[in-house]
Amino acid sequence: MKIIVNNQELEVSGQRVLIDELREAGYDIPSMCYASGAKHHPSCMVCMVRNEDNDQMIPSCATYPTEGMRIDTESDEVMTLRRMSIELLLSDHRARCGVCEGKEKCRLRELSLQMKAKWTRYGPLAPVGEKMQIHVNGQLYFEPAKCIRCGLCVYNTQDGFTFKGRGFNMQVVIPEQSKSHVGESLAELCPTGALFLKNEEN
Amino acid sequence: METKDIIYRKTDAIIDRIGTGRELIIPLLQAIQQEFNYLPSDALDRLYERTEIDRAQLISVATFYSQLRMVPYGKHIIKVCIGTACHVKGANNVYDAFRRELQLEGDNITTADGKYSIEKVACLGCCALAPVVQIDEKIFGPVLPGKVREVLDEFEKMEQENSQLSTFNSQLSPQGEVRLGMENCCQASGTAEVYAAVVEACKELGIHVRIKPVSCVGTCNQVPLIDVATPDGNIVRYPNIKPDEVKEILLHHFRPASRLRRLRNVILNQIDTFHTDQTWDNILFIPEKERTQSINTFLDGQFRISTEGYGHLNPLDLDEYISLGGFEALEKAVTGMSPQQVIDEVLKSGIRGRGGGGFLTGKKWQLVRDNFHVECKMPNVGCQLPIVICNGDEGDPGAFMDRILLESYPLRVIEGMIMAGYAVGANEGIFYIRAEYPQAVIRIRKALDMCRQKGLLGEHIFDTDFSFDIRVFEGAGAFVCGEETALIASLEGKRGFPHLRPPYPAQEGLNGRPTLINNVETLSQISYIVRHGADEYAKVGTTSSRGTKVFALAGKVNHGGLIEVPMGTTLRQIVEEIGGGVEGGEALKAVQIGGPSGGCIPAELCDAEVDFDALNQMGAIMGSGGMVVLSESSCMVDVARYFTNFTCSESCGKCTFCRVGIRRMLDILDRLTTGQAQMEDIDRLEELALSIKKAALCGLGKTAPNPVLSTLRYFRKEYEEHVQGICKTGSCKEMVKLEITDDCVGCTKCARSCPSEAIAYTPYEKHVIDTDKCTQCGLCVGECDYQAIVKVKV
Repeated sequence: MKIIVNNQELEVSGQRVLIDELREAGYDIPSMCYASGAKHHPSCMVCMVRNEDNDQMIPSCATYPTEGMRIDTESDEVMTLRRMSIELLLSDHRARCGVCEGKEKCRLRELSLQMKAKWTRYGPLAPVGEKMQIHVNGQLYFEPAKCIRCGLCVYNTQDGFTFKGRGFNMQVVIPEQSKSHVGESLAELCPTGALFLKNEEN
Repeated sequence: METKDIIYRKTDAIIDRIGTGRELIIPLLQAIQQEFNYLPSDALDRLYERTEIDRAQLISVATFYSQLRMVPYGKHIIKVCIGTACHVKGANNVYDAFRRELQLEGDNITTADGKYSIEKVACLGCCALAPVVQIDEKIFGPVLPGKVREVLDEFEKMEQENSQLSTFNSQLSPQGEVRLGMENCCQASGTAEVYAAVVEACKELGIHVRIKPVSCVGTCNQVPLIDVATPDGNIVRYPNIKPDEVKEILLHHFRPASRLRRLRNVILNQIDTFHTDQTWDNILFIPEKERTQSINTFLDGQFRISTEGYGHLNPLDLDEYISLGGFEALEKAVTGMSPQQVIDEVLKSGIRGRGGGGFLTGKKWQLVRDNFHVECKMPNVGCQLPIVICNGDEGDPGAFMDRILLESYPLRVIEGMIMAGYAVGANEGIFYIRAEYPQAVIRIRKALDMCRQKGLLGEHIFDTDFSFDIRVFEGAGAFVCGEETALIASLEGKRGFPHLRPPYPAQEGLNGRPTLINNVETLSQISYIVRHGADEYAKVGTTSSRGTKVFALAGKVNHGGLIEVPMGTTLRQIVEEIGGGVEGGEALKAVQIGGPSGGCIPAELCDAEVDFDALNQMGAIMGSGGMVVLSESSCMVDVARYFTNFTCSESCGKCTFCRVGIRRMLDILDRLTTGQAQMEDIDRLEELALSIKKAALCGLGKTAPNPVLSTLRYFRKEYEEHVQGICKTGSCKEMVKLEITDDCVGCTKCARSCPSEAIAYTPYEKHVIDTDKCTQCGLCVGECDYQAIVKVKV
């Protein structure tokens, strides 16, 4: 199947979501809440592209290509909205990157630097809660104030992490009884330093 | 406190009755809460043991829906409505007044003795009586901050009497009929007491009349209202009556059956007249014209399709509905038309969805039908028939059309739904009704039962191969569930998270089946279309918007209520002619249409016609039909903040732009309404609003910035004034204070009325308000006979 990306034709399989097709073809599509192969629902809106046929902004991680579809991945409008979503996420994130255990894998940090996002744009270092680290299982720890509510850890555990509340006050929580249902490998899936591995002895 | 064993036993009974599937979590939790008044942790443990529900699902669902609670509440629950109409009439002051009266401190919501709990609710749907308060099942309105003690006293009195409506209908052939509206709003204003008075008077006077509860007349501001129908066919209407006037009215129209009674009544009446002057300013002496003038102007200019039969139809009288042409359309469709012909007819009529988007209804039906025929995409589920859902999750603060349609015209909605089922090839339908509308749930259930008995629902309807049945699902309190994909999620036992479309529900909806979701009002118009034909229907309205639209008219307007007007009526006609102008003779400033997804249309554009496209161009939307009139004393920044605050707390929290973006908009609006904003905040607000409109995931998020964008467009100057610390209307409390002028004569009324002791008691001297103590509840302003208390800039 053929689609048109930034006015250039591109041959795609049509079997995979746009983000995978585009990335394979060499386009740089950033994303926070998407991990190829893992269960996910679009939430971060960082992977946004514009559908030129109806002028709608669509998350490329949850949209399948259709024949002849025309999309735009690099206009100013798209870039501005992507940066804004990163800035909004930052405004609710305990960004103390210097001392963060998860900074090496943190995509939020990486994308902020890359997009020159200003983390003070919406509210001056918004009060985002105290530093609190919860021991989950083995070497796995959870720091809620760094969570961006992408839901990857919720969708990819069985009776483990879950959402609590709604709207801006929605949190990701782990009930005491469910901690044993969660494995250490989850740390890799988390796009920020909210879930990380810590060796107590070090 | 109940022991664990009892809780387990009761929970077991509930599980046995409802089931153990994951998708049943909401009905299970609702039943548990109804049993225990909250969700006790022992009951939840039992759910983990006995059902498929696990902790993760339970926390996720129970904390999403506002109706469900994990802590016990007091014996009685006071719900203070903070819908739009109540908000502009000072609902927050009412809430504060209740808290003061009940001596609630800090974050407490339950009184120390466990008698009352208090909470704010988005909308009780009695906007014409704003501000409204509901205590348990009883609705009170209008409730002013100074009257909360009276309301509590009245409630407690009722509690003691435990007054039940005694049904009284004489066995003898009736001399006539007395009709009363028994909807929520009517009951709130005392129709129940009038009903009791009618029953009492009939017994006492020996009059035999049929007492008939009827559908809403729509004149919610003129209630209690009774219609007296005499055998000669005359109908006399009495608005705003009091229980003690009932006897007089009945005597005027009906002769008591026995001669002895008549004589006794005459004598008693004579004595009454001598001893009191009551009969001289009696309601009967007011000329009919004067009595009902405002109702007549209210009813003129309306056109009835959805609300046909208003004021004389008994909502639950199936035979009467049939005798007036009900279910004719269904019979015509099922026995004489193919499903495709029904769809074509609906398409030809041009009707567009009344829920907000304005999508062509016929086209939606066609999509569902076509998807049913394409090869099945979900082999594991098997090819299942489509399903029809009636969306009655009317969550807009300031809107109550769907509630009235469900309560007053349940049979018409059901008829429309069965026809929709026939057209798309479904065999099952679901009513999704909002948690706050218990009366609607009861009536729809009864109406469904009656239809089943009559063979209008179930197997082989009208002896054809078509079978269809409908069940009811009660929402659990989440505005976002009005969005169709979120509604489906909640039916499946999940959080009300919307999902990205496509796939549309028409393709893959409830449990993967093609799903048709129509709004209550849309379905209530279908029978008219089929019965009278698409051409007849299309004659009403404008070229791009056919038919009529039901609006809930409320806010600062003289005669609020439920109205149905042809599309193309101008806003000014609605406000001035039907609504009788702005309350208190103030100038019209704007009309807010479409609730939190809509916008404010300024007075100078109110000559525009009501039409889907015209409203969109002006930055509002038709929405579901809430129409709140704003006057010169309404602050537009405050209105914008009000709606943003609403969507912020109702956002599901899934996507970044809605979850964080709207919160950041609210931060800026908070700064604006407290006088702490900078000029560049306005630009930042606009930029955020435009971005959210583009990038949010679902309809709720994409339309949430509309109230801000439309007020910025038409009232930007007011935003700029707020940056300079000026709120001309005095609505933004932080920017004004109350002051007593030299007109004060020292009568001490204000000092006595002040609940926070901010005014010192100084007889015959000018009083002074201590600004630190003053909560600006406004009680003193109302008390002062000399208009000596004014709002001034801080």
